[in-house]
Amino acid sequence: MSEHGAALFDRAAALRLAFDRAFAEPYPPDPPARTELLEIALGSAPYALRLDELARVVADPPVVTMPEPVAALAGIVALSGAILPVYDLAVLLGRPRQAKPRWLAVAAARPAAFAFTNLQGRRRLAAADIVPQAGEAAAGLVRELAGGAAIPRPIVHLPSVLDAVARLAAAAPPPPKER
Amino acid sequence: MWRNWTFARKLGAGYGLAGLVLLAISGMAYHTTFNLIGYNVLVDHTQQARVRLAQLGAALTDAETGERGYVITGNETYLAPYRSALGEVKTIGDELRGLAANDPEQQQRLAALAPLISRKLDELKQTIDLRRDQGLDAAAKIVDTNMGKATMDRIRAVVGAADRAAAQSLHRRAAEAGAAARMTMAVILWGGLVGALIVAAIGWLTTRSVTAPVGDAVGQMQSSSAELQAAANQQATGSREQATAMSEITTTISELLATSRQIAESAQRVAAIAEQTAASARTGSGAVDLAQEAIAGIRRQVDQIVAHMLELGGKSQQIGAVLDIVAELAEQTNILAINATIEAAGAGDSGRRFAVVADEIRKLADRVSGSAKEIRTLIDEVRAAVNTTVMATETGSKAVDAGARQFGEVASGFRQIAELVGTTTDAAREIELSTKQQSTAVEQVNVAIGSVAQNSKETEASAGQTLQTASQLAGLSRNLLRIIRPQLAA
Repeated sequence: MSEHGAALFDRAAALRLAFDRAFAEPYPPDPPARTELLEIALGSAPYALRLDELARVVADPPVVTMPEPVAALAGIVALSGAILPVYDLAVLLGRPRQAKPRWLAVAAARPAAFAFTNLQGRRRLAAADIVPQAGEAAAGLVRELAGGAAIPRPIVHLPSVLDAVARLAAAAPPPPKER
Repeated sequence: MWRNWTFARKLGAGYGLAGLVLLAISGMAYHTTFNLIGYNVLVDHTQQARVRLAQLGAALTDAETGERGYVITGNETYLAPYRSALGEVKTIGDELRGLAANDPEQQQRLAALAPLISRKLDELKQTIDLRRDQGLDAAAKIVDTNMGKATMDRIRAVVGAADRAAAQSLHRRAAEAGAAARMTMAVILWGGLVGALIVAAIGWLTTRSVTAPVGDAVGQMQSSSAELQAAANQQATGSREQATAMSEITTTISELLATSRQIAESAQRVAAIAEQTAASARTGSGAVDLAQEAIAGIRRQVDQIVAHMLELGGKSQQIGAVLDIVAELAEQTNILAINATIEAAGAGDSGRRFAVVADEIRKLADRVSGSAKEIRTLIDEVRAAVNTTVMATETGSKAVDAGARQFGEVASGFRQIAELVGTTTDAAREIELSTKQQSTAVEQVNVAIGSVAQNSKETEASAGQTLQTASQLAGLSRNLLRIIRPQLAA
């Protein structure tokens, strides 16, 4: 057996051991307050969403696209018996429209879903690693940066995004009446 | 006409005329001498006749003498002359008849004489017989009859007449013989003089008519001899030069012959080497055929490798598809873990343990996802390796194809080499055969040149001989000219 194969076997054994140990070990005490982040990508730009602001994450959702994009509205989707609007998060953040975003993040506060290109992972950060932005950015859609990495990742402030969506809906012209 | 006659004709005519003169003189001399001899023969004949007549008379006298002596004495010894005379009388009588065969008068006399002689001999015999038988008296009576005397007298008269006639004939024939002798002498004397004069005249005319042309001819012969000497010198010089050239040609031909033999040997070696090369080419062609078969086997192996590699690529794709499912499952598990975490967070304290389980599930999903990525990487590496192997194998297959084609070209080249070497072998053999024929021809030419050289040497010798002959001819012509025209020769 090659050295690489032996390493893989050792690794599988370690994984099995860790998995078994998870059942054997007692529940951990209450962990310190940490912020769960969902690391996403809008196009090629890295962003992060707070996990506590989301209701669920869906991959490859059956989005019914609009005949023509209306501002940030990309389409609608049926999830768990409810029809939700789907917004292009990149457009809302002032970036170019994403080409075929695969993922949806459903907001917990309101019935709305935001499309993003890729789910890059999860991250749990201490409060000290969350860096608020200063100046006008502090009142924008991205108000914090996730540190602890070589490049700080902007954290999308989802309530502000929902507000922006609400403002866009309010500013939109009324639909034509049916005859 | 005389001037136009040839030298031989003139000589022939001169000698012929002289011969005719001498023949005429000889004929006349012969005729007169023949007559003279005839006369002498007749004279001798007549003298013999007279001698025989005298002998006949003497024999009869001896017989009568012997008879008388016997009659007188009765002694037989006296009969000896009688007995010898009997044979002589008969013999002489026969000779006289032979001598008088051409004289009728003498024949008549002899015819008259014969019975007289017989009568006389009978009378003698009768007397002798009487003397022997009856005695002397009886015999004396016979004698006293004078019959014997009368017969004897008549015999003497006939013999005398015959002797006189013979003497007359002898005298006449002697005169004729003398005349013939004088005639013969005159013919010899005057004929010799006349013949000498005629021959001298003919010689003078012949010499006169021959000397001038012969002198001219001798002069021309001298000139021709000089020219012949010059020509012989030139011929000798040319023959020497030709012999030298023939010698050089013989040397060159010998070198050419040696070169031809070397060419023939080289062609033979070339043919042998070409045959060896053809055998090597056939061996090489066989080796190339074996190599082609080996390459075809390699090609089949390569095709099998490619098929296996493609199959391995397909399996890798299937593994990739399964791995996609695993990754999808890991991702969905992760999504479920995330959503469970969200739900646990929403459940507050009661959801905290569930959050732990959800986190474990998330970790498990992360590990599965990471392993799936590693497997993906490995699969990609395997597929890349497979693709690289397939490409390398296809490149190798193309190389094998190219090698097979090249081996085919090499095999074709070997076959062409074998064919060309075969052609070379045939050409070398033809060269060898042609060179041998050429060598044979050159040898024949060499022999012919040697013969020509020998002929040149013989021609040179002949030219020398011709020169010598021309010199001798020139000397001969000078001598001849000196003989004919001494004033010119001097």
